[in-house]
Amino acid sequence: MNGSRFAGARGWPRALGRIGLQAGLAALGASVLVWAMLPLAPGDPVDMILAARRIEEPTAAQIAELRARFGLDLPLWQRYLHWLGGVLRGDLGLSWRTGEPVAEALLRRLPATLQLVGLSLAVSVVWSLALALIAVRWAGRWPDRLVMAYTRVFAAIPAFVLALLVLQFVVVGLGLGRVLSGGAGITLVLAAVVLGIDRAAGWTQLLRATLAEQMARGPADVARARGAREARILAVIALPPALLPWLTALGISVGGLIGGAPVLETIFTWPGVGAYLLQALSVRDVPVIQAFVLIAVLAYVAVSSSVDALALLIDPRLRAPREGRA
Amino acid sequence: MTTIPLSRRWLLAAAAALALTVPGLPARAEGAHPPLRIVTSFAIDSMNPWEDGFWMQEFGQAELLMQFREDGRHHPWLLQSLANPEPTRWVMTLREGITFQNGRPVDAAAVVAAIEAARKHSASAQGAVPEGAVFTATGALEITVTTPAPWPELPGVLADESVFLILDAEAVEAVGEDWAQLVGAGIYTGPYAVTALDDRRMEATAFPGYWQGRPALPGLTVSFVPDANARILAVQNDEADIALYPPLAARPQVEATPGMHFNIGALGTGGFTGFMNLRQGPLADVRLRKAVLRAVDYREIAEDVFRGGLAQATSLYAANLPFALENYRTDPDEAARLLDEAGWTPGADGIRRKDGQRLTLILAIYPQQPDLVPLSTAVQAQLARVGIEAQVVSFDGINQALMEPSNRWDIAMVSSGAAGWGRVQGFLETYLLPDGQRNYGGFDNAEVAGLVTELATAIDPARRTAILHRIQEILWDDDPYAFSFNIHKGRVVVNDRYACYAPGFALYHVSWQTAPCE
Repeated sequence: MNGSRFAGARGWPRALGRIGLQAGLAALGASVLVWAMLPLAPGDPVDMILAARRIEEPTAAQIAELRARFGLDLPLWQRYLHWLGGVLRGDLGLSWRTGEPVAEALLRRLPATLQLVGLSLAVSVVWSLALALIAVRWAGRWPDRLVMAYTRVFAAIPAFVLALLVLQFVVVGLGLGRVLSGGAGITLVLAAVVLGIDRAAGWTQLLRATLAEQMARGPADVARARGAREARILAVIALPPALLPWLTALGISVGGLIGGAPVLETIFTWPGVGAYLLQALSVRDVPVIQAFVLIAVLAYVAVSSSVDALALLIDPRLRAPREGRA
Repeated sequence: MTTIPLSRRWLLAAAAALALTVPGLPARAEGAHPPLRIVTSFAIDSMNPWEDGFWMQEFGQAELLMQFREDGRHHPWLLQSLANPEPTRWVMTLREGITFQNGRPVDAAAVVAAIEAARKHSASAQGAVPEGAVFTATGALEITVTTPAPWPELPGVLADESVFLILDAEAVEAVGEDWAQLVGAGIYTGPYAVTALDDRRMEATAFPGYWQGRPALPGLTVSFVPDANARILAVQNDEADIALYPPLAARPQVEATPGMHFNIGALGTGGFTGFMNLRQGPLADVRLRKAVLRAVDYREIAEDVFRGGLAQATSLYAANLPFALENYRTDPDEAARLLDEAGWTPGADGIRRKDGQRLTLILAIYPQQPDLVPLSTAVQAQLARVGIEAQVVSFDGINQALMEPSNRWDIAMVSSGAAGWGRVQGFLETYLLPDGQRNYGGFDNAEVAGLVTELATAIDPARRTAILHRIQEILWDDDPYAFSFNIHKGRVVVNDRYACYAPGFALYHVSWQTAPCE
């Protein structure tokens, strides 16, 4: 037992290094794919810039100036290195539509989006954890059936449909909050609850299944034989090992949470990156789209890596060197 | 190809399923109008007058020298008169007593400074003004424009919101590119001056020294809300008075909701235009192109498919334009005869064949215009009536896609303005000349090219009308290529207070007299 703990402690730096290396490689690979959005897009980028700026009849001088300003006359590899260098310095390029630095525009709006994503994540985690525990504690009885009904319904309904219903019946119907949010807290709560509850459906299903599995295993039976109460077995014996796959799933699907936020922001007129991104999409403002995708990917890599690190903390076996586990 | 993240039609269909139960809006005391609240889909990104200034004309902050009105003609706005004493000389006379919102007088020197600043900084102005044009202040309120060749489009250029906004050029130059400093600087002449602008909204207050009289409202707010459903709900929830750019699909549920109105405006100047591919496919045969024009039911598109939300196309140009030649007619029998003549005979399934090949056309649309989905579906059905099978393909980045030779398409359906602000030259040169940047289908008609070239300098109104009539005849009878499926109309959703509000013609959403209904 002591030897195992010792081996686990020795494995910490190596395991964390492995996670860091994987994260770095994933981020680099993602940067190539995100950057490739531009050269892979059909047509001449100058035409796309002109379309984004609604310039119908450009002069030759305008075309040449745009080509030079956006570095479109450089070879592809130089354009990638130029772009990557800019990204590393925090320069995400210029918006084709407005000519404004993308980093500045996103930074103005990102805090509101992070608020929404953060609160949605908290709602999802608390909601799915609570519902899964309730379902397993009263397995096969009406609370369990109710939770399962919720997960089936909400896993099938897209978040934006829920958002429309909330806007129509809660905001307009009950007068709670405003359609034009103006950044009000009540709108943040409504949007976060919609996004969080929608996301939590799948996570609840997973956690309920793994908890039920743990409750049927030997350690739970031993605890029962010793007279432990079901609630204690659930919280102390079954929950820790059940959290591992749940955390992994959470890490994987947090990308969906980030990707879903702009749609909800647009519906709730929440002043995050949503409207900015939507406008960029409508005119194919590639630097803005690239920047958002890059931020979402990096956030996903960061969350996934954190989840992996958390898994090391929960399960000491993961810290051991590979050969030791073989 | 991609899809739009939020399908407006889907959202509105979802909204239609909901019960709309909010009661009618309370009336306010007369004589004390609250500020007008508009919600629009497009954000005003900055106070940069050269790139975002055109919005200011739409919402009552900025004005132009000329105004394009519903009669299809250009009328003096800040000008008292515009004369053309010689083919290469125009004389503009300003109205007396006009000042910028900051109090500086609007005289000939100030206007020339604004024009020259636009020519220096604005891409649109650079593209609109012919080389060698000179603007000179020849009196306190008089400006003379001389050009190497006649410039008949000058009235239209002066009425185009993207070219010469009349602004205090000195105040603009003083801020460099720190555009935020222009908030509250009163650089324009309109009835409402900008007092705040951020990512969410623009606010403006009444300019008490406005030259036409006291503005009817104390001010206005323009909120930027890209989601159409949210804009409509904002009106329903009494958070906005006017919602711009509502989708036509929302009309039934809006009209069924107490306290809300879906108002349709006058004819616009553009619409969904069809361009036929002459480079490849069956439409290289002129008889097939003629047949397509006659097979399209323009009335059905406007009245049945879009329930009157769009106007019926009667020519390439909107019927309110003085040079429109109303030569469109739906004639399926004539279409069938032309197809027979071309050797395409009906098969057992009704689709025509020639040498064993089915007569199939590809309709190119794009996702940024959701109204193209019902339009293309209707056209499919109309073409099928004369034995033409049509398939719809959606291209992302339609302009690039249509110019790419490897893409197969036969009829492109594109929203465009054949006579925006009454200006016809740009459309003709860009879309119909052999070297035009958007000559999608390879149209090359020597007579049209000659007429377009002549039109650029034809100053006589009668001759201009004759040229445009002839071009329209060629495009219908001789060498069909570009045609209108419909003409757009303005549309808004309003609350009871603004039930009488008519959507602004040529995007003039707010005038000094805009006010709640009496």
